[in-house]
Amino acid sequence: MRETKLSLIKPSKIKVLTVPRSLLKLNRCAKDEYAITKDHRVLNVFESLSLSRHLALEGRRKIRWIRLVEKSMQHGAGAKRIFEIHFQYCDGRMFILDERDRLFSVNEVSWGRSLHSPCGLWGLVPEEPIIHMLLTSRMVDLIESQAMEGQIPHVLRTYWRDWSLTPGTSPHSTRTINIRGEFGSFKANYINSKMVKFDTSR
Amino acid sequence: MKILSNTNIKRPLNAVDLAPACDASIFEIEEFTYAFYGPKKTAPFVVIESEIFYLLMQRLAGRIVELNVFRPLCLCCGGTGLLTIRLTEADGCVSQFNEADELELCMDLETLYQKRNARN
Repeated sequence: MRETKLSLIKPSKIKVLTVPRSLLKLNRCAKDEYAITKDHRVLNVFESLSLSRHLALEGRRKIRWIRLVEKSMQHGAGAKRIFEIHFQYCDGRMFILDERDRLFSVNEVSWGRSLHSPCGLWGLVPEEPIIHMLLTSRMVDLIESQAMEGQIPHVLRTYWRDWSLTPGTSPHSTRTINIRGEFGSFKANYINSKMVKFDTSR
Repeated sequence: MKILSNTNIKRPLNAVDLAPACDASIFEIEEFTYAFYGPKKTAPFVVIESEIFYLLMQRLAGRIVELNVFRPLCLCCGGTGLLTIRLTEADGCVSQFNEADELELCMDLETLYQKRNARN
């Protein structure tokens, strides 16, 4: 992966590789040239032969989310800072493309995770109350189907407001409470004194 | 980080789950030795011994909201990478710790820029 400048291309030639609800979008601008955009702003343009080869094998599968990551070494030898792109397909497979144009598949040794943090999943700015929310996979699907582009933080805050206004919620109790909120029914419970798990009602 | 092959280790009765918000669990078995369990908590799927991980746990215990243990597979050369433990905090900050005792901090670039702008 080599950071580059956007060449002159026709907008009609650009192909969006991420699902419409993705906050960051991966666009294929030319054969090996890609651009990551957010709200029609270009964040990064790069060339990658590895990604092109990989996408040719994946066919038309869409990418669920993509993140731009700076990895800094806190302990150990080697490079101090590495730029990476992390992306995940809708079927849960995750890949990492590093700045040396190496593409890695993430082979889980552990059991698949069942709870997702909104900030980690969608790359949202960590702020109250979103940092206290954890979502099941079903809840992630529900929120993505409810939120239009860029509205995920608003939907999350609405769920939190519905939860916090419900009588009987206490950090001292991990009891699951069913709530009928603005976006429909859901259930939630405290996992510990700070984190609340949100799940669909079914 | 040393990966211990003995996964028949018994968990001390007073051991506390260091990642209570996750399906998988991390228990300190003895000093510098940690066992990673799946949701059923019957037998650990990996046991490690590391002083760096011990120091990391001093900061992250109870704050982890996502836990992944994986081996990256290079799609270019087919080589398997080092076993990596990926720990995500609620604010999206990711710490990655691997077999070579390397600890990396992964920051979302947008969050990083915002923090830098706020500081300046």
